[in-house]
Amino acid sequence: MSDLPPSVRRLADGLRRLPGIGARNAQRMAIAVLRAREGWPEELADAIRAARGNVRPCGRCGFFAEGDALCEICRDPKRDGAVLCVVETANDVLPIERAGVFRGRYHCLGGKLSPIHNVGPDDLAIGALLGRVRDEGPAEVVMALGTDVEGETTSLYIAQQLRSLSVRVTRPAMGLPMGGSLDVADALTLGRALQHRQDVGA
Amino acid sequence: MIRELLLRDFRCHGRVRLEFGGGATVFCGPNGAGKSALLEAIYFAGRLRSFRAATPRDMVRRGAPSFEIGIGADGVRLGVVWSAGDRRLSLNEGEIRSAADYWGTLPCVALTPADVRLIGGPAADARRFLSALASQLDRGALRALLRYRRLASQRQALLAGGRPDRGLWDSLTLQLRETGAPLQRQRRALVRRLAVHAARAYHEISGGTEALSIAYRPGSWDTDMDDEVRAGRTLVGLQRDALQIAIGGAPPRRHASEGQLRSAAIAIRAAEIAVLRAAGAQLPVVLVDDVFGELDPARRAALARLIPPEAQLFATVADGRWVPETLADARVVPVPPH
Ligand SMILES: [Zn+2]
Repeated sequence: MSDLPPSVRRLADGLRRLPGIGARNAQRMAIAVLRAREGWPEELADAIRAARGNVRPCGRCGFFAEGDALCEICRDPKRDGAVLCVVETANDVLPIERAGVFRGRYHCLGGKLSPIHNVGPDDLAIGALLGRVRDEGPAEVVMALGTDVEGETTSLYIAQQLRSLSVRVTRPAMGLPMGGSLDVADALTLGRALQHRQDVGA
Repeated sequence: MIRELLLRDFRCHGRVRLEFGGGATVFCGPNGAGKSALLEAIYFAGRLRSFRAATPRDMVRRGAPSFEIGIGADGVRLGVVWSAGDRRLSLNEGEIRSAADYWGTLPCVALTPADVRLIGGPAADARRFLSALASQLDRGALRALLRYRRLASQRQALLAGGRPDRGLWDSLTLQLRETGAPLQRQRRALVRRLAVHAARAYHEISGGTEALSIAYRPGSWDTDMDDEVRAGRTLVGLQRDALQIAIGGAPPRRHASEGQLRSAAIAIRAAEIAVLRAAGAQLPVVLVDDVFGELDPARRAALARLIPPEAQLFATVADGRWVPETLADARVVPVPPH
């Protein structure tokens, strides 16, 4: 049985690393790239290179930003500075934005507390969060972490650290399945959860 | 009810396919023929662990890379494929990711000679017994227990790492208690029910006058971080739970005879079956491994009476004469030596 030439196999192997792409799909995609009449595959390659070169974490909140600028959310004057939403990673901002309910700003921690994986408070952007709460003076911090053990531990820990700063600490309520991660919740559930926030550690 | 058992490379069995009707099945054969392994396979398909002190690796047939158990029961097919580092579970041909969604589909209770450890043995054995029973009764309790165990491992990692962050220790301790305290309340009620059934069963099987009593002693939640750092482990909660068992008012560890311990062990298993039955859930499959042989005829008959007649029973005996008379219509399956 003969196989595709090595350069096509290399392309297919690369595509296969994308989430949700199996071997068969990767092969079909590679062949589509080869057969393209217009120059879109070259444009795609440029776009990949540009995105990887330009995109870095926002200096303030950790969401995706371009160049040295702050992210679009941090630069948007219509966002409500009185509510700060703490999430695990930049990816978690997207489902919340899709829910379309939340109009405040974000803070990405870069992970969750987990002694098993050797992740302690100093490994996350918790110090930076405390600094922001002091400087920006939000009235409320929403802990929108998963409800698994690690998410809950991180929420409780941060709530404790914020106690002396006279800021209300809440978390999304209702509908989030215990043990689930934020990623799998649907927009309706998440939207509702953000309308009914509760105090952490109360 | 189990209608079919399929094995591949489980213990000494290469490929096995057995069919069952209702009622009792007795596997009869010499030691080492693999009759206990048949019961162990059924138990493993139900509880995902052995009733003997064995790891899944021990259950893979020599030279084989993996074992497979298939069970066809009324309305459900269960499948387990185990190979080093990988366990696949299926229900009705569909893959099941989380053990919590699989557990409880095939409730089973095993009676083995090692059950005396529930009474005279390490407290951890009694805790495991209680956790398993609580989880068979209620899937919510199983989920809470899995969460509790995750919290305990996180806490363990924190304590083992030397100087723990006080705030992190506080957060984990608060959750451990929030998750564990309701489980303890549930266990207290459970042991109360268990104790009533066990006392009745003990009376039946011993024919004696002394009473068997069982009480739950929940682990305390009073804790101090420095003490735990010194000990290097969690000193509170479910890990500290104990079952306090007394025969004739005395702690059995020193005072009980071999026969009393054995009767008490059987009484506790009979109580386990009774609790599951009273909960109105599916009646458990009852597995009696090598127990009939070590009882005198009177106690053998008493044990047979304690097993609900409508429960499906699988037993092993080395000698056909050890089958109790009340199980006269049991199907005896010879298991020849290999
Ligand atoms: Zn930003």
